[in-house]
Amino acid sequence: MNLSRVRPIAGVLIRRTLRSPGEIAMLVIVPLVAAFVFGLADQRANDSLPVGLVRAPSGALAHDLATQLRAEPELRVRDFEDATSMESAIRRGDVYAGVEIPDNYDQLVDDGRAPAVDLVGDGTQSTFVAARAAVALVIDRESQTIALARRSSGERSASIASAIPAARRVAAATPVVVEKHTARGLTRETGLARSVAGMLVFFVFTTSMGHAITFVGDRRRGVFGRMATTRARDAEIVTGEILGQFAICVFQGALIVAAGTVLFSARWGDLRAVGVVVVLFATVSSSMTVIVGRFVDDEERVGWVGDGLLAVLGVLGGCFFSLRLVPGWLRVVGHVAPHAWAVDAFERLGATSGGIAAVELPLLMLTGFAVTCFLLAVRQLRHSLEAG
Amino acid sequence: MTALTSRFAYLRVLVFRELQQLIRDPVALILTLVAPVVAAMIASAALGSPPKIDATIAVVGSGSSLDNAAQLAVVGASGRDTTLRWHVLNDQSQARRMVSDGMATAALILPPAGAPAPTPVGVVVNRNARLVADLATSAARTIATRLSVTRALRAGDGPAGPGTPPPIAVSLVSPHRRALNGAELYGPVIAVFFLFLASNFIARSMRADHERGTLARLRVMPLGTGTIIAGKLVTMLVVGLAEFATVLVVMSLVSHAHWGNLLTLSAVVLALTLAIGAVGLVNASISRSFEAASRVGPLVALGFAVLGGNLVPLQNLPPIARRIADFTPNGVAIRGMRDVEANRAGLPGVAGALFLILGFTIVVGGIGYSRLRRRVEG
Repeated sequence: MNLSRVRPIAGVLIRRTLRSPGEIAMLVIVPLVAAFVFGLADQRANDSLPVGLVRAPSGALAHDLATQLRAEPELRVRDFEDATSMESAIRRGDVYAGVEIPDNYDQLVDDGRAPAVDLVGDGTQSTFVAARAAVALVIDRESQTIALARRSSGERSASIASAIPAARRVAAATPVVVEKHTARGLTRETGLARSVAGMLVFFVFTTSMGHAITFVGDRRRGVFGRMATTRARDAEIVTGEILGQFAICVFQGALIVAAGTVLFSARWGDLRAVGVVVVLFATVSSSMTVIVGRFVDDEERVGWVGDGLLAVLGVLGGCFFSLRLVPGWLRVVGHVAPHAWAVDAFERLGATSGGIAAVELPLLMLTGFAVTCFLLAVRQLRHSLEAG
Repeated sequence: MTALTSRFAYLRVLVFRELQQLIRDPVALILTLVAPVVAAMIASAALGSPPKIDATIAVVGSGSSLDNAAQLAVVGASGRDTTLRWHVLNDQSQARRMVSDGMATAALILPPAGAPAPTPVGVVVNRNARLVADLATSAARTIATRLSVTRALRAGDGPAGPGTPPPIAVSLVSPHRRALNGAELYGPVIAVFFLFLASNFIARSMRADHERGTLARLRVMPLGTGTIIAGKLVTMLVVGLAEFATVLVVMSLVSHAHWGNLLTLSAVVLALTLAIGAVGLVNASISRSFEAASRVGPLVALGFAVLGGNLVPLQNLPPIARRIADFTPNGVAIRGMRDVEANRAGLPGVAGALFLILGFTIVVGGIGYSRLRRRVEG
């Protein structure tokens, strides 16, 4: 094989790609922007629960309770003007639960009676159960504080509101010490890191599907036929074509890994293992360019096929959300896509301190996909050259 | 035959021809109708039940502090989807190991009986499970508060004593109607995303006609450029509506989704499809090659999906994202559809949304049509 004949063939696609501002944007900028948005949403979805709060009535104690709820890190409180709009939001899925503090809350507390705080939600939903737990814990603390304030205000014949600050200080007398550990077992890596990995896989494949259109166009214009009449052997042409695609995919993957680390502090784990995953998935993607381009006759159809494969394999393969969220059978089905194995490998590497050994199965499966797709691509490309 | 009648006749022929080509292509047909359904079912299963909070919390303690923890266990334990399970242990190091090994998501280490005040309440958390970590920390703070108040009130078994009601009661209220399930939330959302992808048909089809010389031949016929463009647009609308209807029907049958007032829902879907068609016209006017169309199409689809809250639930983004979504046709339409499904909104309830979407359609469609017409006429 004469590399001096392979390089120009590979170089054509690489130069064509790097000269186009649109292509450069799709290579790196768009994936990172998408990763940021998806990652932020993913992180917030798993770090806190959206809860509605009807605007608290006037009154220092009601205001205190509302403030305590807003200060809870596991709750993301959204204000509503009234109970009707809050209930509409709960039914639409905008919030998981709603809290309504009664108008006469302060009055009832002062009178020594128990105000009832309404907690609205669908009790069959696990998200409501979690939100209920979080709200109930806050109310329990406030309840204890009020009990103490009632006792001391009764002793001093003062108002409960005036006894609250001292009661809070007493209630906070027992400190809480928090220790944070990183679990050795795999726990779901959420947020920006996982999202960058998902977008890396999705957009490397997007680039490949875009190049499938170029491949079909070249085939239609007789480029392969003309290449076959040159001194370059079939093997050199095949290698050059696939190498060009492969180089772009690896370049894109490496750029996204680097940018994800710098911009989002994404933890990738063992970089050698990450590199192996990128190379294997790039092999799959670049081979798919040729396979799709060979089986589909015209550019218009490639557009349909490419868009469909992108969307289905992206969703099925866990690029947009972790497959840990779906039922077991769907997780198994999702793993017919090479995307799922690549995302699994990135997730495992990022969430544990393992290296290549920790991702043996995903790497094995990706290797199987890569070898199969590559051999099929080589065969299809030879047919293209023979057909002219 | 009047000029208008003959234009309609030509339009019908153009649309029929495009649809015939599509129906004869099994790959395109599968990807148009089957792919959105598959993606919608997966997204409904994944995003429709977030987040699965399924956690074991180890508790180490004795005496009154353990009683407090037991009381708090009632807060977390209920129903089929028990959120928090409490696992009582005697040994702190065992509790820490459970967290490090991933067997427990968090551990509470309570002061032993008779410990002098103020002995802290410890909480050990897994930093990768932030929600449960924060819940466990909140539980620890509540136990710490109870211990402090108990001591202050000098009561033996809890500040309120048996039989004394707490100062604040929590009343659980069910919403008058159930919340939307995953299929109802995310079925339409995914259908909208695929609708944006389908809008790229206009760009690709115009390009294909140009390359094959079909466009030049059509232009010498008494059709008018407007009729040619309208043919592409109407085809895209028919395909888009068929796609959307397929998703809704399948989600109804498989996932028991209920869509509310079908007339109102249809009005919203039709308005949205027109708006997305308008976006397709703009895409076609700026895509001068198949490669450009292949880049612009998915980019626009993803952009609108993100801005309008299609692929990313808006409640998980900062409040400004909700305001931005109110300026996108898909964001407005999704909110309208959810009001129809969840809150039984009728036409008056979605009139504002329809007005905004149609306004978008007129402005964007006008720009796209005039640009595309100029390009076709050279």
